[in-house]
Amino acid sequence: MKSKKGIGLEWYMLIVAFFLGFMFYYLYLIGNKQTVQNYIGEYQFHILNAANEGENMIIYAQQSAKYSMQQAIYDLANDGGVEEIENEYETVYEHQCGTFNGAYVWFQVQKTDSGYEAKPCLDNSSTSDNLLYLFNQNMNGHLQNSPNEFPLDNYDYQIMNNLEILGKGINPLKFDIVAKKKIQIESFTGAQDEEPIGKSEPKTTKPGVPVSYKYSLPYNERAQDTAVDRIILHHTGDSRAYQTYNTLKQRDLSVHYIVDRDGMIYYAVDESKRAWHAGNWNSRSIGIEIVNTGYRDMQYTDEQYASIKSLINDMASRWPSIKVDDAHVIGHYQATAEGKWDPSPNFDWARIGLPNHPTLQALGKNAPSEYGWA
Amino acid sequence: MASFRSRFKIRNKKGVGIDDALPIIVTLIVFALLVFAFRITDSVNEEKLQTGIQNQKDYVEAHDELTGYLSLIDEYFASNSQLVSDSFNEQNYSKLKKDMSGYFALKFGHLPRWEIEFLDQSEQAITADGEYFILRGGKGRGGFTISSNKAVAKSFIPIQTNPPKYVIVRLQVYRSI
Repeated sequence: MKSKKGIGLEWYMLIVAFFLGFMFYYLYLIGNKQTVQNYIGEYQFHILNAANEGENMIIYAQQSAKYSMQQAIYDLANDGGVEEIENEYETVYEHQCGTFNGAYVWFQVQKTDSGYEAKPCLDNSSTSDNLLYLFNQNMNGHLQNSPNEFPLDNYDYQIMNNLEILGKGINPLKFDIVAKKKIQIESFTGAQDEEPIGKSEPKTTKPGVPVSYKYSLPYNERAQDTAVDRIILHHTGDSRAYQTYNTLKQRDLSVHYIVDRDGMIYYAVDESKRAWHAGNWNSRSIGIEIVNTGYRDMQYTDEQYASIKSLINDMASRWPSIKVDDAHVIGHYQATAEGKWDPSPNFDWARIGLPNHPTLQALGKNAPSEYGWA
Repeated sequence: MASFRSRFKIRNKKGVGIDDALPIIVTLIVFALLVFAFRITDSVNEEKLQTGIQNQKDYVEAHDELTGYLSLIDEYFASNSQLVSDSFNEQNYSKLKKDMSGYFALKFGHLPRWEIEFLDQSEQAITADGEYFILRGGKGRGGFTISSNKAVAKSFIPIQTNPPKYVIVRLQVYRSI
């Protein structure tokens, strides 16, 4: 008899089904809401974190400044106050009185017919300039090594009384006040279509192209939650890979790859680590030094173009946040506001598949005339 | 009598006590389950929310206390971050340990546990002269409670080396949940 009535179609089953359906829908809704509720205050929290990061950076900078000052005074005294200062283009200060026991002579006493005569080898202003130069150099070393992204050469220094150096920041420090990681609130923000800002992990950091592991350069850890999304190209300023290696080592700088004139690729720092080649771009970038003096008459070789092209394609296949385009593969001159012009203007971006890449000139910059660039 | 029995028999055949009441019984049971599930879910979410907010608050507090400590200056205008660097430069931590223990016991003594560790640039624990730099405190017996939330604050202090290096001061505070 029940069978005849068809128990599966009893009316109350519809009520039960309705309630069950409603329950599942509600639980589904709660599940989504839960993501939102877990992140109540998330943005505010990240703003606070940005402020905290700023405080940490101030503590770091203050302590760095103390050590930079001590080291600068030591260096100044050690070098007789006449450190030979060179920038990229010229020698700014030269020692006047030679060296004694390896240290530059600061003050000389000469015997003359009329007695002894003091000969200062530099004036006070050049001592101050030297001190500031050394201080800035030491400060940059500390800041470059910092886990935070400090802009380099960013202070306008003044020497106050009693050897007090006052540094005023030229450009402000900038912080992301939105979480660097992808917040799990896509369900109502629609943010899933945006490019992920979170740390991107490569499939592997082992290159898929032939490389040599002959050289190893210093590094530190990349900033947490920073996506590696740029490849930065440089020219080395010399004509052999080993010279580049020595220079970088002497200057406490480093880069992930050095591409020699014959196309040989040297893998000096693991891609997962932070090499020191582009200031505040270090954490997010992989650096490639291309061996070239920068002089106008030195062309980049076919082998170098072929190696660089295969290397950047290989990196793009391994790093999800790197693409072979003008935004992700850039020159050092694009990453730094002033002074940098590498790779030199005769680097042909078209040869690595970027024919419309912004040139140095297009950015209103010029290569130095000393290198034959008008 | 006959007619009553007849009616009873007829009803009994239909199963009046069970079949007729079944829809309403099932409906009530499902409804009760539904209300129960909603209450449980709401309660769990509320707890999660409170824990999450507390955890964020702990993060901020831990950072404030750590940077507050590092920024404190003594009568010679030397900051505690200087004390940290000096201790590492001189490889002598006794003064630093005593100072930090006193300060953070005062600040976080009411929590089940707090810890301060010093790490090198690759976030490996620093051991100097066989000494692993860690300070611990809190009112929890034997350290951890089984259910606890951890908040971490880090600060980076440069040390005077060539090439430049820094140490990481990591403060972890645990709160029972």
